[in-house]
Amino acid sequence: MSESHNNTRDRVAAVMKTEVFRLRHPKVWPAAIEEAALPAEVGGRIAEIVRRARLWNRESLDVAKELIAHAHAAIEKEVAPTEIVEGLGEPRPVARLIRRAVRRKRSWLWHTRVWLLRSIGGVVGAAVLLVVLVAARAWLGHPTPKRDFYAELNAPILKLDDDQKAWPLYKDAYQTIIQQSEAANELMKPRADQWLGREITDQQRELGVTYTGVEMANAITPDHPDYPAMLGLLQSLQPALDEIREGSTRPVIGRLVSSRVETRDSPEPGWIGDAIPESDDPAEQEFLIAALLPHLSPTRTFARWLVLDAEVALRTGDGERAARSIVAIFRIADQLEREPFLISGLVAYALDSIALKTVDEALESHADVWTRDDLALLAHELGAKRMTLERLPLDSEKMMFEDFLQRAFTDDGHGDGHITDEGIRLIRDMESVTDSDLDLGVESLISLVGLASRARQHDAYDSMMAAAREDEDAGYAIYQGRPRALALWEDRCLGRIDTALVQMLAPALGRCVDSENTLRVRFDATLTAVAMELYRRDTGDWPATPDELVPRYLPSAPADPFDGKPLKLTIREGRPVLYSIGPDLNDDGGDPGDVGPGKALRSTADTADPPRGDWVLFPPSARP
Amino acid sequence: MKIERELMRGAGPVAVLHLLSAREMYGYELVEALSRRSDGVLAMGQSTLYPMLYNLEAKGLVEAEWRESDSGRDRKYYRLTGKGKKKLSKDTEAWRALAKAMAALGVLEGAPAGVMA
Repeated sequence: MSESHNNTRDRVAAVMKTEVFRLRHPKVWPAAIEEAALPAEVGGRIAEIVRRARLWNRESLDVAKELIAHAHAAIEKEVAPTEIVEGLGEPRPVARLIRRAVRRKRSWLWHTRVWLLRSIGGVVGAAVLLVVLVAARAWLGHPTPKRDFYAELNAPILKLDDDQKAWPLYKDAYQTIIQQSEAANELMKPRADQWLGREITDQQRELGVTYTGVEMANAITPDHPDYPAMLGLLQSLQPALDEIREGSTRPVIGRLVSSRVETRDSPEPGWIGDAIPESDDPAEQEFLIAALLPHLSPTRTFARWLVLDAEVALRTGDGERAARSIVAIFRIADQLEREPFLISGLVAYALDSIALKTVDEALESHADVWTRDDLALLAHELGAKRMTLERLPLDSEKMMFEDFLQRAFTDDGHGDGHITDEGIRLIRDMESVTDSDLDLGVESLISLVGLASRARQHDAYDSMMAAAREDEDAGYAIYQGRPRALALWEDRCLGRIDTALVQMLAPALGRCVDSENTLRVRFDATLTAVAMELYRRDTGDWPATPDELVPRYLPSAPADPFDGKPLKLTIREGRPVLYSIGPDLNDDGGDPGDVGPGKALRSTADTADPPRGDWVLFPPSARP
Repeated sequence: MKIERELMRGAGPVAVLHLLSAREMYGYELVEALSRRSDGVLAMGQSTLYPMLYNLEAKGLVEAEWRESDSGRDRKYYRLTGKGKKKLSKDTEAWRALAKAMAALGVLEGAPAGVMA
């Protein structure tokens, strides 16, 4: 070895001893091995082990130096290079063992950092993997709708003869009413704004805001100069109203359920196309929530005209016609309640409410027009209706939900399955048409895909419906401190994406429960008002309490929904005032205070600070 | 005789700690001493020894220092720490108990079978 080479070696060795140099300059250890002048195979094996160990420079150098020292010691003992190489072992496993051991000597700070990085990496990796798996699962699976809900819904309708269905009559009557009242509109329009107390601007007319015939007719009071014209219109509509009254006696409306309807290029006013049957293959059908229900709007129109007819009949002393028109509204509501759609039920409640209001006002203002027979007819109808209000028609909603599941999830044949790409698109569509404020963005959808199974949706739906039933049975018990079951259910679901689909239905369901609870009380009250009128005719006086009406006029005294005791009755200015003690649970002697006729009594109202006063049920003029 | 890896994993560190309890030693010395004094039974190559020493160092049972040897070469000397002494004492007791139990069972010579019964 030359002198210059030795000088270089010394210089390198000196520099290598500087810690700063060792830390900042990588690959010092190869030089150290080279400088050790070991037999080539020994040096090569040490170099490979150190390289594979992948340690910090300082650590690599330390390990290299130790192995070099070991080799030198062996050489001094005249151990053959091949034996030394054998003692060093296979580079890969030895390097791994050295790496692990040397790293254990590192500081706790390094170990903590490694642990943190590995944890974060693990979590991120697991999340990415989950998303990938879930997305792949959604992409790979497809829904296989098997149940033909349209066929199931239409089967009972198809079994009936046409004379058992109201729809043929309703369809015809609606067209007549729309055409006649449109003609009347032209006649009455010049003074319509004045009659209705509001003005429709030209701009609004362009936007399609117009008066409806019934709105205009309702606004014309007997002292109005056009009252005779309105009576003429009503008279011309009597054949149509007869058709409606006749239709209301039939068991069902009987319009076929479909998502498609017959169309015409230029249809006559009021014309409603027939339903176009769905495909026989459930996979090709629209999902059930898209089913068209074009008969709902006409039923509201019928109710308004029947109310007008009843009011005019009462003014002209025709109590029997008035009673028949009111009963017709109740029966149309009955027909709607029998339909397997919650929305039909809600319209039915609206119709019942209109009819009850009409009976209440008539009992207050025109009671004498009604004969005993008329009152008996109304009492019978009210009693029968009250019985049907015991339960919300929730089964139909489950059908809707089931149909959605079969179009959004796969089917494993045992009631379970996972969300599909088609399902995600359906949910996005639903999200855009519901008033839900749930976040169903892409990120949430990924979670949804990961967490929700078809069976889980069933469970969530059933638990929500059970909560709704509980609220239905509890009535207004929330004002006595009982928590609202549906609200508790929603609280439990808060932030849980797996029940998000079902949660979207909760607000509408809550409104249904409220409407039903309110309506039950109103039916009780109106039935009691009819009974009081009969009592007065028989005894010449008003009853002092509802108990006096039992059993001759009522099977039992109607219960106050707030305390379970009979509704309260007081005589004011010679007239009976029927009331409930209201949400503040205090008997204020029939003073309505702040209690409105419905909104203040919603189960979503603030029960901690309920409105003060009583819920006055009859007469309507005593309500706020 | 070749010892099973699991047995070696238990015996090796105790043997190394025991050798270092007498005096400080460098790697090659340890390899030689283990082989010679155990009649080759506990012989181990560098591939086993150094990772073991680094582990003992990481646990604080031994400490190392680079020093120039008599031959003029740098060597890394290992010596037992206080913690290492305690560990050795504890492990030695365990091994004694184990040997006694094995002897009692007749696996090892030196005690009649059935003593443990």
